[in-house]
This record gives sequence, structure tokens and C-alpha cells, in this order.
Amino acid sequence: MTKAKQTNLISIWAGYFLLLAIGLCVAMPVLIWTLSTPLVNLGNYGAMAILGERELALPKRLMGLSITMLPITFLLIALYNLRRVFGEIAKGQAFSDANTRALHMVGLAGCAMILAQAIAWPLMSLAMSYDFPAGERIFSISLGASPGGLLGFFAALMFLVLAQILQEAKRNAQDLAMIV
Amino acid sequence: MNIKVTLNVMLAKRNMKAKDLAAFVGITEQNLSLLRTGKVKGVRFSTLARICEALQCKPGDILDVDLD
Repeated sequence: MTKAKQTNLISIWAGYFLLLAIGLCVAMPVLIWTLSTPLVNLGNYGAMAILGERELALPKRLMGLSITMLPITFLLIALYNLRRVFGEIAKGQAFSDANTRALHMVGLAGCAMILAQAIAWPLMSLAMSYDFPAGERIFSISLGASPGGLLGFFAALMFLVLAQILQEAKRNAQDLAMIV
Repeated sequence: MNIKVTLNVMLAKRNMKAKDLAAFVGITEQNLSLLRTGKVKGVRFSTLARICEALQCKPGDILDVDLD
């Protein structure tokens, strides 16, 4: 099997896996927030710890789901664009404009996801405790750097850098095409 | 100051078809057409050498300078 065919095959399979990931990203939070007892510490940004033994009413479930979906939306944008990147590579168009734009979007969406994750914690504490009696309401701001979060942030930055490199490579490829 | 490609003149002098030259040099007719009309950004030394070999000339015979 030639290298180009191998790349095509890998790109096609990567595209399928990304589709699966997109599906799971949407299905999992919906499942978690619609269960009678939501699973603890699964993308709920500390919601269960704030609620304790209190009942989780429908409005709170919807708010919790919306807040959980906030970073996931950016993740979906990143995954969708990553799928486009693999699609372009599978078509043998590594230096296309669409590829550069998609890579740039992956980077931007990745950075936005990290930011949204940071915002999700205080938002979740507000959403879960807004109807608590006075004095028991919580507004939680968390500062920290988890290894996963840091890795995601730098991966997103790397995608932005890669997009710049690809832009330059595309320009060089165009120049090279004009040399006989 | 621009570089002018005078390949057409040399082709006419040698009574050679562009198609034959492209085949001898090993480039496409489309690329040769771009070269003849001066729409390329550069010429590889290897291409230049093959063109000169085919037309029995020197690089200066197919390239000129437009001083305007």
C-alpha cells in the first residue's frame, strides 16, 4: 500500500472516529443530566457537591445541561473542523485554503473551550444554588491548572501555529507551481 | 527591469514545434505555454539546460532584459 493510500485510509477512519466522538459529546451530557440521579463528577462542574442531598428539579437540570454543553459546543466546533481537515487530507488537498481555515478554527475553538470550562465552574455554582436560602447560596471561582486542561490549551495553540505554518506552506506550494 | 522570455523567437528560428520541445524537455505543454508567455515566476536550471540543448542555443538566446 502506498503512503498516499495509507494517509487516505487513516484520514477516512479518523473522520469516522470524530463522528463517533461528536455523537458521544452530545449524548453523554444529555444522558447524565436526564438520569434520575446524575452521575457525580462527570462533566457537571461540581454541581453534585453543591446540591448535596437536595432534589434536582427540571429547571436546574436544564441549566446544568446548558452549562455543561457550553464548553462541549466549542469542542464540537473543534472536532467538526478537525473532521474537515482529515476530509481535505483524504482528498489529497493538504495545502488547500479550506484546510488552513479549518485548522485555524480547531485552534480557536480549542482555546474557547478552555475559557468556557473556566467560566462553567462559577456559572454552575450560581445555577445550582440560586434558589437556596439566603446565606447558603454559592458562587465558586476556581483557579488552577489541571494537566488535561493545560495539555488541551497548548494543543489548541499548536493548531493555531500549525494553521500559520500551513498557510506559509500553501504560499510556497503556489510559488513552486509557478516555477517550470 | 523585467526578464523577457524570447522562446517563441528561438522556436521559430529552429522551426521547432512547442509540443516537441515540451516532450524533449519533459514538461507539460501547458507549462511551456506559461513559460513562453512569461507567466512563470522562475525557471529551473535543469529545464533551462534541456531547452538550450533542444534548441542548440545559450540561455541568453531565450531570455532578454526589458529595461523599461
